Amino acid sequence: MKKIKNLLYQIIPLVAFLSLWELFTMNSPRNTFLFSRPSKVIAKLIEKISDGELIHHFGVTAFEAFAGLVLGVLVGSIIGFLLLYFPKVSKISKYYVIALSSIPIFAIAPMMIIWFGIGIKMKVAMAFFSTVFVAIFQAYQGGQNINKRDAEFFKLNGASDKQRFWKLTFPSSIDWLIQSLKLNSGLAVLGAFIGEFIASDKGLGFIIIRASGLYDVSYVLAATICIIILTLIFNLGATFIEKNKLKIIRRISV
Amino acid sequence: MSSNIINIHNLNFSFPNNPIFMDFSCTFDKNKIITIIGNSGCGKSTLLNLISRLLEPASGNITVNGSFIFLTQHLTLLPYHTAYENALLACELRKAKTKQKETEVDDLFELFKLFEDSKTKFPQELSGGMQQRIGLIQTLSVDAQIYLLDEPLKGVDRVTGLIIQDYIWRKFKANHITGLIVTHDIEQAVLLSDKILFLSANNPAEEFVFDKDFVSLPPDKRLKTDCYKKYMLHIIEKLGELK
Repeated sequence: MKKIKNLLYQIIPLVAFLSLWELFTMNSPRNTFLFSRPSKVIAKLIEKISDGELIHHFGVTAFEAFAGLVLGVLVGSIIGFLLLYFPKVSKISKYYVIALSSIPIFAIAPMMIIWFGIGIKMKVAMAFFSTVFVAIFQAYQGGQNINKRDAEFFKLNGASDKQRFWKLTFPSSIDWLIQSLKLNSGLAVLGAFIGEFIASDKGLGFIIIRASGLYDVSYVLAATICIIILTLIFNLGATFIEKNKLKIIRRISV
Repeated sequence: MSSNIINIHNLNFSFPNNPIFMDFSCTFDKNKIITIIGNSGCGKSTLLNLISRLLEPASGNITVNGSFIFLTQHLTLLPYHTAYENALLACELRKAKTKQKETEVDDLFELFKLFEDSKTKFPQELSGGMQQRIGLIQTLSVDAQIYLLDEPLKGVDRVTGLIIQDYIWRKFKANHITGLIVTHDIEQAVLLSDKILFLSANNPAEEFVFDKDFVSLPPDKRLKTDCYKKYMLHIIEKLGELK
């Protein structure tokens, strides 16, 4: 009962906003041209989903962002954990990582075109570079999160590096890794999207560029909704992992 | 061969602005159970940390002639391992986890009054006293010549505590184990040990040795002797005299 009530409270602002928007644009062709209208956006969404166009482009962006996210988090986490074992290297590289992570992803997009062409590879690379630095940070911080006394216990009992990593370091940093996945799910979509925005012939970024060229605000907004949905799906995936972390860790660590 | 299993010679150690040991020397006999008692902050736990090399002395020599295991006051119970897996953790890390060890741990769960359903629970679901007993099983299931136990019965109820003390005494005596036990519990010192070492800050350690007849008895028998009370009173008095 309380859940339904909460859900209702959460939905009210959305409904109010959409109703006002609809009223504001209903009898004004000028406003409709500038701002579109919720009913028109939904109609566009249904139309483009049923003719398969949006689904195709959604799939392309989803693949690019997902591949970039997985690669970025995986490679970043490995680098972050490796840095733990080389304190001297991490001391030196810290500032490089901070410097590199501060580069706006837009700035390196032209370079990505030179390196990877204008195909899907380049968008995956964009998503990768959007996520890898956060992943390095999270894994490095998480790995430092281990209890000093537990580390002493492992040392006193002659634990191997492998035992120490899988039984102590990895489980202690799991919350940081999940956080990394959550933060990066938005960044990966953004990276892939910017890649498409700059040069592409498919994907949601391409749709938005093309539709805005045609002053088709309804389609721009329909594609934007798709991007929101994509980010939400990634976040739900991360939440699913979070909910099952006990099972996952036990499979790896016990 | 000397009968000393641990030698400490001219040990100096201090925490920032807090000297703990100054030219401290002492030795520990092989196959003896020694409890270390003294007022808070006198360096009881620090001594075990120094012996186990978790802390490095500023100067002086510590030699340990044998394998050891150390139950620190901090229990290492991994949150994603069950109580049973945690109980076997030290064995596992030492690559000594065998079927025989598993049976031993099974028996200890029963003996220490940890019920079957607690085996599959996670440490954070257990009470402090139960966690302490898991930590004890973790330590006692390892084969070593020296056992360093820091407050081994912290938070354990008295009845179970007596059972555990009895087990420790019999195990140590049967396997010729040297035990160094840090405790605040005077009864534990009287029931369990061959010898008591009184520590007080910046002073030489003083020893107290029990009668031979008393020492040959296990804890449950010691409890019933006449001299038990005498020893208790004596040690309380002695503790009061310490600085």
